[in-house]
Amino acid sequence: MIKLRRLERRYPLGKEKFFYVLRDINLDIEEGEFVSVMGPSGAGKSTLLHILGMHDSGWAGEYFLAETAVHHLKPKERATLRNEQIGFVFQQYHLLDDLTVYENLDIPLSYRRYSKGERAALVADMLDRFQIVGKKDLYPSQLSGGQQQLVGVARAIIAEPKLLLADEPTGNLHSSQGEEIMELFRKLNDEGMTIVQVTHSEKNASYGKRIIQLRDGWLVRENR
Amino acid sequence: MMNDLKFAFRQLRKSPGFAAIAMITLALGIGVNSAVFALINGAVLRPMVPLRANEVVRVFTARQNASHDYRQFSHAEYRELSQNGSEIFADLAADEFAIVGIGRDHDIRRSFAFLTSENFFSLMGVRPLVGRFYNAEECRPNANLQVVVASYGFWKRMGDGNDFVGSNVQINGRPYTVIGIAPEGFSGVSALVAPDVWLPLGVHAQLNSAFTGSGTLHDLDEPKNYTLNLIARMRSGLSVEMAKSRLPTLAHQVNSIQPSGFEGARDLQIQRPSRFSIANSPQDDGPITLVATLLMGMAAVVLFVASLNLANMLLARGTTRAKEIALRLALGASRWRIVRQLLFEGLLLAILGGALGLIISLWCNDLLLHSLGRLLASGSVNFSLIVNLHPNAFVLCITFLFCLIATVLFSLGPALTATKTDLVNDLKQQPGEPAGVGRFSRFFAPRHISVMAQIALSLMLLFSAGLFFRGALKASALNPGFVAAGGLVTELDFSLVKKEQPEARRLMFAAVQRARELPGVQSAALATMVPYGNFTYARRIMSMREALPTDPKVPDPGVSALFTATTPGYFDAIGVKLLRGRDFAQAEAENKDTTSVAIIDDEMARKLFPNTEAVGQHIRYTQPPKDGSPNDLIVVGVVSSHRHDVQNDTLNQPLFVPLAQVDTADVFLHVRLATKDRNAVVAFVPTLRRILRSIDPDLPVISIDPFADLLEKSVGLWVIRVGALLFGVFGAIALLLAVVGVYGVKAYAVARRSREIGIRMALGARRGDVFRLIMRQGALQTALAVAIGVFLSLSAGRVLAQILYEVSPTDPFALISASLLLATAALLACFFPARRATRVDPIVALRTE
Repeated sequence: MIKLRRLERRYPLGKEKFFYVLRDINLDIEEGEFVSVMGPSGAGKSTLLHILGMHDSGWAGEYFLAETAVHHLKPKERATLRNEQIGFVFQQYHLLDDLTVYENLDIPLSYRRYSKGERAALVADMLDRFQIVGKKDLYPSQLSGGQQQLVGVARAIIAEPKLLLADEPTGNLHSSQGEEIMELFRKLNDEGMTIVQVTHSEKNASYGKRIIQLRDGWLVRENR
Repeated sequence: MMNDLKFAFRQLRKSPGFAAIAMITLALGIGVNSAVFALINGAVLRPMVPLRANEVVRVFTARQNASHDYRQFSHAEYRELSQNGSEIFADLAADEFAIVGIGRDHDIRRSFAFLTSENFFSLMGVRPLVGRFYNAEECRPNANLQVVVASYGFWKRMGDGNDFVGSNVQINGRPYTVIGIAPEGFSGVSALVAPDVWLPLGVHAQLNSAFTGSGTLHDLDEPKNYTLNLIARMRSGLSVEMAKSRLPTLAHQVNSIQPSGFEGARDLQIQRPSRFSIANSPQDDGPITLVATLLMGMAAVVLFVASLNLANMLLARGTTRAKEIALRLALGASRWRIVRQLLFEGLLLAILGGALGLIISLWCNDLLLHSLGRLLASGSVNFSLIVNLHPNAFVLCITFLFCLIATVLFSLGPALTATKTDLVNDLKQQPGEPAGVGRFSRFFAPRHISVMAQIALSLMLLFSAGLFFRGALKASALNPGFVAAGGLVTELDFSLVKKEQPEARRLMFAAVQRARELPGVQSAALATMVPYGNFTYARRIMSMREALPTDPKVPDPGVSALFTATTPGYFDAIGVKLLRGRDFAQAEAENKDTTSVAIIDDEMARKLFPNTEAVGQHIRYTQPPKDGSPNDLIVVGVVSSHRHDVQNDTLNQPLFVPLAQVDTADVFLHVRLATKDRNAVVAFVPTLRRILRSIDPDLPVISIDPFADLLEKSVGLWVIRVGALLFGVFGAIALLLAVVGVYGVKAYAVARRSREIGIRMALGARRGDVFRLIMRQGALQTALAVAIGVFLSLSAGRVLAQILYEVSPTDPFALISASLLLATAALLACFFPARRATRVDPIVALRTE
């Protein structure tokens, strides 16, 4: 599903000086895998996730996603590929404050080629699947953190991506809410969805089938 | 309080960019208001009568018939009213407007003059600046004591010498001794212009007979010489209404002294003096007051738009200062204390902006006065422009009031909003939009409502400007019915030189003849009036088929006609077609004793003789000539209709009579050249001047101008153009403010929404989606604001309808152009922030969390 070769991300510090966030990353992730990325703060976990999610384009190396050479794609082509293949879950949920739950779920669909009817059906299906029908007209500020992240996950998968990227999805939740979200991830993975999550929590990492350790931008260890 | 002020200064110094933009915004808003107010104060509010103006009234006399034929008063009537009107009037003065020639030989200039009774100055409440005013003896009819009081402006123009009083000034060829100088700013009976000289009534006959020599008509003692306007100071404590109730008794007394052949019983009327008009009938200053109110209203809208703009800036600033405000509140400051501090900052901005605005207003008004002065200077009559547009204490106070109003408008709301804080949140200084309450609420957030109001109001101002511009364009492109290109107009005024009437007549005709003989001249003729000129003379005429009513209560059945005396060739000279009949014969123009003939235009012919050929018909004046000449004119020709004024003049059609039928000293020599090229016409001026001088070196040539230039100098056209300019300035400022406002709000909104944009991009939004997101909201808000603006514009159009020139108050062209211009500008102002939004880096935006 994902193949990274000699992937590098750096920021200029001065004349011919660079700060490396990621160095020489070589990584393969198979379809249907559930991978947890761990490491101390500043190790480059989130950067790796944003590169995988194609939010960041200032990297060097090779990145293949489902056999497509992302490093050869133009920005528009990358955006199309991203919209077809990837869903993203954020630590801070990042729901849009002035949109209702229903409207938040509708956003990703509005950026893809779905008809109005299809969008309505998909949103309704998602509300039903996540059992949040009763909250569809509420605003994010009217939901608990767990409920907000639930909506965040629903929003990430509503466009039926093959790959789900999650950046510390339970970082802002208390333990029971976190467990609920991780169970949901496991279920999604069981249904065939490839998941890559960034986490600090050993417990949450254990939900995955493989753990990748990053330190100072280097991929230092892989545990299966 | 001082601490607040100091802190306010420091805050402004800390953000010089914000302070500069805010000050310029306020300077535009306050400057426009100060300029307009100074204009209104100078022209409309400044008391015309220096002493207890509310006691002073104009007195009029009208026939007791339906059409109220007004006329001036005879000296006998003035005496009667002065002697027996003491129950109503504490004082009664007479005045008469005149144009005199001041100077000698080639240095003669025509000037406005007023002849007045000796008590005129005391009634108005003024004392001489230097010397004295004239006395009763000097004002006695036919006293002919040649004394003159100079206006302040005239004295200044003559070099403001200390020995001016006591010197001699040549007026209409006679030496007059200057006995005094009127105080600065005193304009007598006009709020705008002061005459150059004030003369005693005693020189009335001498002054007027200088040219005609027909003494009896100019003798003030002649009972039918109705030439005086009256102005009175009512007895103290008497209201106008009370005075009016006592007038019938006084009118009865005046009627009892009428001479034989009495025209019928007359009423007396009183009215507060008009500020702009000298007429024998009550005049309404309503239109000027309406224009003044509209100008002030439009200026207020500009200030409001500027304040909204600034309020938005302060709302944005309030957000960035939320942490500071929260900290102050946490440290124990009361909400009022913070509001006061923010208001101080606003007031400081307003005062600085107001000071800059005052400079702008001074500059604008100087430009306006300069333009007016240039227009009036080209009018070939001298006088002093009295309007003082420099800010006095009153204007300064009002400007300060504008500053206070602006402060409340732009800083109170933001101050109250800024102090309504969520302490915990603000202390953490979480950026981004506040907790959501829906897209609807964001669409109608205060800053968006404010910017939509700016767009709507700006559209109203732009539409108003559009209406005036359309009027100005129409006035410029108007087909006057005559041909100005290729024409030269020379004004000759024989009242300014010592020439007897026969000699003057001989010179007039010689001038025409010599002009006709010049190579390149197609035609030449004399006329007593020039189309688009600033002076008109009207008489009422009717068909001889209709009987003159004998009942004095029946309204005058005549049609008002603009009266012009001409010589043959006049219509060729101004490019008007003779449709039927013939032109005047030379003999008719030179000899008064020939059969009285007249020429009318097509429209007048249709009016007087609807179903008959007008040529050969007889017409007469509804007021027979005073000199007893026959009141029967044969229509010998009908010419094509043409305008006399840029204003709509369909009510006043012309009547032409041969020059011999009038005693006039002031004539216009019209010369039509074979070419219409302006340069060739201008190049012909020295030739014409030389030929005229060769006839008589003392020929009183007042001016020689291309006919086309005279049209451009028309006061009517100037008023329309200044209207367009003023409203155009309002519109332009409002447009600028609206664009800045929209840009500011959108740029701010994009900055605030960067997190949201980042999320959207992370969820799959492309640059185009983000661009559309920002533009769509901007477009919807613009569309809503334009819709409201269209409604406001149409309402404003209904108010403006009374002063518009030949433009419908709902003119679709102006409405569509203004809407498109504003919508385009607003969308362009959205475009740049929207483009910036597409460059939001989702990672950076999301990391701001």
